[in-house]
Amino acid sequence: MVNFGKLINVPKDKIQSNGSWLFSKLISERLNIEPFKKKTLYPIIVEEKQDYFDLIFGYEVLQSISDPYVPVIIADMDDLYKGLINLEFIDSEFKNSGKIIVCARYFDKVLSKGNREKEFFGIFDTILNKKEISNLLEWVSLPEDFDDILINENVSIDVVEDLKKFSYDEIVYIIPFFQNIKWGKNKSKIFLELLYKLKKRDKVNVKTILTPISHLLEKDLSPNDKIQNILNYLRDNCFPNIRSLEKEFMVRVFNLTDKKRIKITHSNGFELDEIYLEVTLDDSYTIKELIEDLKNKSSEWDEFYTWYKSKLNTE
Amino acid sequence: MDDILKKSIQTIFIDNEVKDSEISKSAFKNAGSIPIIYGDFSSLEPSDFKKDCVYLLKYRGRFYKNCPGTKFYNCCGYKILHIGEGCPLNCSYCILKAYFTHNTIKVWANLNDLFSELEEIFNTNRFFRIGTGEFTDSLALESLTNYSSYLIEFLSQFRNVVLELKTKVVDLSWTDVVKDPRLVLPAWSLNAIDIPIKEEIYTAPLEERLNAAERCADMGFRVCLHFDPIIYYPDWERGYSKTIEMIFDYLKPADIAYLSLGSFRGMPHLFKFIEENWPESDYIYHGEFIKGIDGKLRLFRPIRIKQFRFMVNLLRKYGVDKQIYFCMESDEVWKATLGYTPRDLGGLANHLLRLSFAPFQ
Repeated sequence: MVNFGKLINVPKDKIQSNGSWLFSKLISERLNIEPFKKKTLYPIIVEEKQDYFDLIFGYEVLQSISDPYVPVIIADMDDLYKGLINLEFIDSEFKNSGKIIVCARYFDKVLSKGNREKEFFGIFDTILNKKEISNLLEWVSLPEDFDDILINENVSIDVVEDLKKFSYDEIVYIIPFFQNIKWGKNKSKIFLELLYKLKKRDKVNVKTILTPISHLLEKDLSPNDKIQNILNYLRDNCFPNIRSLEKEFMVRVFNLTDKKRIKITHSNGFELDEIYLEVTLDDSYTIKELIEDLKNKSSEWDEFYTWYKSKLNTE
Repeated sequence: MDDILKKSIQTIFIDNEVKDSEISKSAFKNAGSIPIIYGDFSSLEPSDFKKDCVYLLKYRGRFYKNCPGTKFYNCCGYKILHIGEGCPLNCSYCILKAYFTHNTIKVWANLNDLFSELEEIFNTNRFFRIGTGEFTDSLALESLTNYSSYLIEFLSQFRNVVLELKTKVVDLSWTDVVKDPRLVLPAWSLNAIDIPIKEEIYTAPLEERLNAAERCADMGFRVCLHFDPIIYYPDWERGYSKTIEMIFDYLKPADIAYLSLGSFRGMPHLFKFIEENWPESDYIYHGEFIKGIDGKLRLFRPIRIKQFRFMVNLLRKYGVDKQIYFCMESDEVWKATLGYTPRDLGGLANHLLRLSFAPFQ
């Protein structure tokens, strides 16, 4: 329901900006950043209350006005429309990120429970694709405490596809791993997949799995190194045989060749007996030198290949 | 009709186009209390049908097909008689469930078209090993459609065709129409002793399958056994030992025409499907899976080899040897477990063809 009234000038200090539909303001507050100021032609819309005006729309414009009196449109609209008008003009940077969860939370409270899902799709379908809306819906079913990792863009909203497999009690232990580190989409997915596999395989709770690596979060490492260490630990536990062979392969290759000149790789997943050599030749390293090197190390090569084949045929 | 079917089938749809076919008449006779709906359903999508239904219709493609095995691993060269798609047995690992994202079981009821096509193909001097158990269970719907009985009656005119009926149920009604048991190979899928109860909901217990195999052997048939998928789970050694021991309570090695071993494998979406639909099926978490050269996830080679070696050694101890083959494995795995490759056997397809026709030699 929407009714627009007259355009009048009102004292700026009589306008209150506390509505939970003022998404840009809320996001700025959550991020602890200065709100955007927009000197645009957007109108300021307010609802007239007994002794003040409640801001419906135009927070950024209001911030840019220094005059004591501001021109506003008096309007009367329900909570759904207050949200819709603010969503329509929300900054594009907010639209295309996890910050949109602030809007989703608002609509989740405003929408009628019966038609919630359908109406949710109707509201967001011009901004997000179907999968993104589904993920947003999934996310709003999680407690609001978890929203910060989305708003700060430490993870993408897609993470909910894997996060939803865990119970609330388990997510509580997972969230700290996302709190101060920015995770790429793939890595956060791998993290949760490995965690889930271990939980199901060993029939243990998430706390038991994560406790031995929680100290990594406090370590003086770059975020990338932290992520790498976390994933390595989980991979070592999920795939002990593969990881052990990978490590031994790398050590043996390192001892066998000058990495700059000859690169040795194995078949995908160690499926085949084949190993692959990629050689870089130039003026400083010629084919003649390569042949000489290979000849000199032929027994080591034989030993390496014999070792390799035997490892593939025994656990 | 079979109790398993009564539990798993809610409705039977029969297209008007095939309402006079022998298959439809059998369905009408055998359906019992399951409702049958006749009509023109050709324009409907599978998702338009009710859940858990059987749909009898006309098939417009070729019934005789090559097995969709990839070139990256050794395929057994099985020739498929495509008699329908989908299966009511509801096994957790079933690749069909992931391929066909609906629960409609389709049966190609235009038998005359099938027979005309086969007549053209089989009227030669060549030999054929064919089977119906690729996209469906060969016998799961037998008590409804009598499909295998019709097929066996038709094929009995060809002395150059051996038909394999691959199943996890017990239905021996088709044996009544067999004229020469050397031309039919009843085949049962087997698994570790713990697996059927957990992962193969509507199938017959292993003992019943093996008992049926024994009855077939007594009637002069040789049988085939398929350990596929072999599953990696804690205590798998005990599980597979028990089943292998049990085989020889019922069968002699000479009763077995051939026996396949195939490790659990599938496209990544099959794993996701199992995770979502079978939350208790934890075998997908126990294995160390890698992406094989055909793009499917399969167990890390040393672990596969460990399982295969264990089973091959046990089977050899009981006297089964050259009948063993691997479904979709590399030469490397063959060599490491059996000591030879399909090439040493003159090619796997030829080897299995020879085994199929062995009683005629």
